[in-house]
Amino acid sequence: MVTIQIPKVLPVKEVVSMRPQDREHYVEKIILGILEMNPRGVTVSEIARKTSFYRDTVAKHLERLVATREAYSVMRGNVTVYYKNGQVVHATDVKDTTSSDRTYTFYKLENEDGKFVYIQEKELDEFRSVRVRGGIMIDARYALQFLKELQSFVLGDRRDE
Amino acid sequence: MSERTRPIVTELERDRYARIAELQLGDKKILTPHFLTLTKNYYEFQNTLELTTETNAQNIRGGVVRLFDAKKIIGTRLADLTQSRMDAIGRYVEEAFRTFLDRTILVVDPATEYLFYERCLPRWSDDRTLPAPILEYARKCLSKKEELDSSEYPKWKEAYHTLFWNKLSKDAHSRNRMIGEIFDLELAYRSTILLPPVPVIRSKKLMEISILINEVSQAISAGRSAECASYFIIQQSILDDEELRDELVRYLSRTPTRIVVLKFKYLNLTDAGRVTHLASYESLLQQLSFLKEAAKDKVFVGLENGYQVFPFAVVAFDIVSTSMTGYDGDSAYGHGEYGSWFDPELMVHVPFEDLGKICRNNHNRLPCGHAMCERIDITSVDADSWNTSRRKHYVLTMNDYMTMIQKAIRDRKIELARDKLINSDISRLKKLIPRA
Repeated sequence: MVTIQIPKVLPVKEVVSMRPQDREHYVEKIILGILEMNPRGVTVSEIARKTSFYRDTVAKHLERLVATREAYSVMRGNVTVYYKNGQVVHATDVKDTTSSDRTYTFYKLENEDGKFVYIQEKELDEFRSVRVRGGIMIDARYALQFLKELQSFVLGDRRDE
Repeated sequence: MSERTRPIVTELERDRYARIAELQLGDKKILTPHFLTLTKNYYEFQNTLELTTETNAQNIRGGVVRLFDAKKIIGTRLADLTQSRMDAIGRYVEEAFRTFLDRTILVVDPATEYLFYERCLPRWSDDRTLPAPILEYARKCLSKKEELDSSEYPKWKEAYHTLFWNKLSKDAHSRNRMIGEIFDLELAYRSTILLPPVPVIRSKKLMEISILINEVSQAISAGRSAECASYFIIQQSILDDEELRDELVRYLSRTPTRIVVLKFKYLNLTDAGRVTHLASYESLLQQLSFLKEAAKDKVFVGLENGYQVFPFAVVAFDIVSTSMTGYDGDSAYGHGEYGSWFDPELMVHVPFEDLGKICRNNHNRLPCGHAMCERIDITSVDADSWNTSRRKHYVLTMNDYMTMIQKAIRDRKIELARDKLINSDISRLKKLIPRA
């Protein structure tokens, strides 16, 4: 059995004493750190075994990371293996001019499946904490075609108005 | 992918122990050494806004506000940001503040040492947005102060203060909740970096508590839009203890945080006779300087540097700070109608009464190159204008010092910084700058 690498984790007593919103952010940061340190992938059980986090907590966070495209999962037999979603080649922030608290970050990613454009929607909450609200990944080869489709969709919408 | 919120430090130039680095915090970029002004009231902050947004001074682009002052200084301005009001010449009233928030570094300091130093205790108890343990502590101290006689109260407070931090160090639930709430407040006031609430270090035990709080705070800051710094508040004589000093430096060398903030309470190394004291700080600065050379992506910030601001910026600190008057002691200013003026050459404050002699051969004008200072006639200036001008002059002088240090580093002549101190009235501080 291969042992996974994990970053320094606070003792259980400290983690459970955090406010729920702080704990959520912290656990997510640790899980992201674990994904980064283990490019060969990790499972829910491996993370739960090496940290003090419950299986359900780990699974919930991994699912969220997959939903926001920060991670992706692959079924290997009856086990789900999670990976960090590629290496960032380039990134840039685009501020949403209609809302000062919303930012879109554009990433160029590379992973074993190829090159991708990844757009992440980030929002600041009332206490200026950053929350990833969602994400979309587009194959780099299809990105320009996607833009054309999007443009035509947006302009089509305007004509409807 | 949250790495993008982490500070990026790029060392651009180095001359022996001194360096120029570019620090990027989100969209904000500054060159070091840099000066941040501690503002203690609404009007000082207004002056800081004017200096940072209306002048070309590049090395004073930011400010420090203590948490218990933030509501009055920043809170009201943030509330005004939601409205658009025009002034007489058609500018948005809060435009300067908006520009300040967008372009400069704002540090909201929890300043929890004031739970020990009593001067600002009533201000803690006035602000209901503060965490419950702090409010409770402040209120209890204030009520006990009335109850007990003046000889008993200091002993009680000393014990209660120690108990407060000991209890917090053991009670993870209250402590972690308090840290989270303090961070929420700092971010609500738009702080660019997060500082944890730590005690002023007066003993080995309090050092251990500070380290614990710093470590937990790193974890609690996860997912927030600002980087959490390692923060230590140092009572001036505690660093004479070599063991404690080494423990501090050891911690700073192993912590992964990129921003290290050290605050020096009531530090004054200019007093004659404090030989051991000066040697302790000389050693600390050298250790920090080695640390910075080894870990080039770390930024060292010194708060409340007082007269030590110049040598600290030369040797160890990328960012330095003092209050707008230059005095960091709480009771050292505010007396007399006309406050003293900081002499850029002597590097000390000159009482207003003595300025007559200095200005006599200069048509009653100040011996200073700032356009603002050249306009002042000291025989006719009124007290309000004088006190505003001397504050702005102090900050502009700090900008000049930072520019001077940057130029010396670029020209590979950092030894000139030592000469500058030798020719000043604080020449004994030259020992803080290494010869080679």
